[in-house]
Amino acid sequence: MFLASRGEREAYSATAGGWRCNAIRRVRWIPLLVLMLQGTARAEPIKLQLAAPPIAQPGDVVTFEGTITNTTGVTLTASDLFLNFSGYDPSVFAFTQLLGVSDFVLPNNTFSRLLKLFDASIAVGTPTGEHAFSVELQDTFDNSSGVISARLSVESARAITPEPSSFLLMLAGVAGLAGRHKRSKFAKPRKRLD
Amino acid sequence: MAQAVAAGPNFTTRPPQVLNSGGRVSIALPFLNSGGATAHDVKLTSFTLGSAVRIEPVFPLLLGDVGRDNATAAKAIFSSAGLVVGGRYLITVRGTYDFNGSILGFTLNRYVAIPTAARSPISFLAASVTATVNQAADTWSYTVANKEAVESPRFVNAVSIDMQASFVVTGTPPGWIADTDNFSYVLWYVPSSGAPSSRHIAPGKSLGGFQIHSHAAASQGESYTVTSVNVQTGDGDRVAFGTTLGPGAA
Repeated sequence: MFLASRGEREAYSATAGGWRCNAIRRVRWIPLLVLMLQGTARAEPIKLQLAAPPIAQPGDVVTFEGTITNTTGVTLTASDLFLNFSGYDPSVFAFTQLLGVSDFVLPNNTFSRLLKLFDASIAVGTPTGEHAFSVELQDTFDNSSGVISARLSVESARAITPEPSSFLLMLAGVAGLAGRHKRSKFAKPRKRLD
Repeated sequence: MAQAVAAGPNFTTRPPQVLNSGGRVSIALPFLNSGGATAHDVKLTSFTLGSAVRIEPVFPLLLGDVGRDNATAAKAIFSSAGLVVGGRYLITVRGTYDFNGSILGFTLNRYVAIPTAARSPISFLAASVTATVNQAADTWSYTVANKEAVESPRFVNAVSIDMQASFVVTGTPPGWIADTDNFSYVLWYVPSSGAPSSRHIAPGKSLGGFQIHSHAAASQGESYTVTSVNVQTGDGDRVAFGTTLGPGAA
């Protein structure tokens, strides 16, 4: 989008009278400015990126993590940010915002470390498969990340491997000891190397 | 994780209005349907402000349809006990809506700061209506409480409850009269008389015996209004507003 070099842009922003340079340059910049504004209108001033969640089971509480990019032009703090959820089956999900529980500061044109964003509680009895929901990040200034469609895979509870009984363990131990004793009794004496 | 404009309904909040007055924190959270379709039968199921105790409303509360680019508001009143002026608290509104025949959920979050306590511009009657629902008998029974100080001159003389399902009135306290269209409202009142009588609900007292019967499948929050008469002047006095349970759609 930018045809001017970085040096030119910096020079323009550094000098208050930069736009009064010459007519030719002004003509060259006007369409660019229009493009820039159109681009700004489309770009989301805050961006939310979700990390891939683990596979969940019914009854689990899954913590979603992610990063936030701030290009709003102002510094944001943790309590300036809110999450909205929609489009989910209320008999499957219950969402709890974690964002803001721990305070942080996110200056303009920076992105956050990996943050705990929200908990998704999966109802007991949730059928296996993928369950969809939408999440949107908003800030105090009504900037929005746009709606992000997400899915969470829910598997049935893992079959619990039965623990061998103590008796079986004891039998195995006795058998092992007996075998070792037998081997040592009938084994030929080893030659000493020294 | 795809990022796009929602084809279905999607809700986005707007700055909330917060009033701290008379030991109560009232919050109105506007929210906009920024999605691509109408959300039908939007129903609020909960509204929390940190760990504050909610006073009003009773949930679930039906807000109706919210069209694309249209806004509505979730309102609630909390006790200010335990809330710190200037402190920031997370408000969470949960609800459901109907989209293409499926009931879907939504959760809205927003941090609010508790403002300095202000004197309320309007004084309300201290009164409430509580409901007892007997699902087996399909009845909703109401008790009206006059919570004014005992020396208050305000006696309750009428209570009106909005309804959104067909019903019949099956209980009216002695000396009271019921007026209803059997679908959208019921009004119980004491017939007009000069001085308040024993039929009025005196300050510090409550009165039961208000009952309706409906075959509605579930309960939902409905608005009520309680009015009072001033025994010193004989004129109508303060009014109380709130929500209580009434018959509604499942």
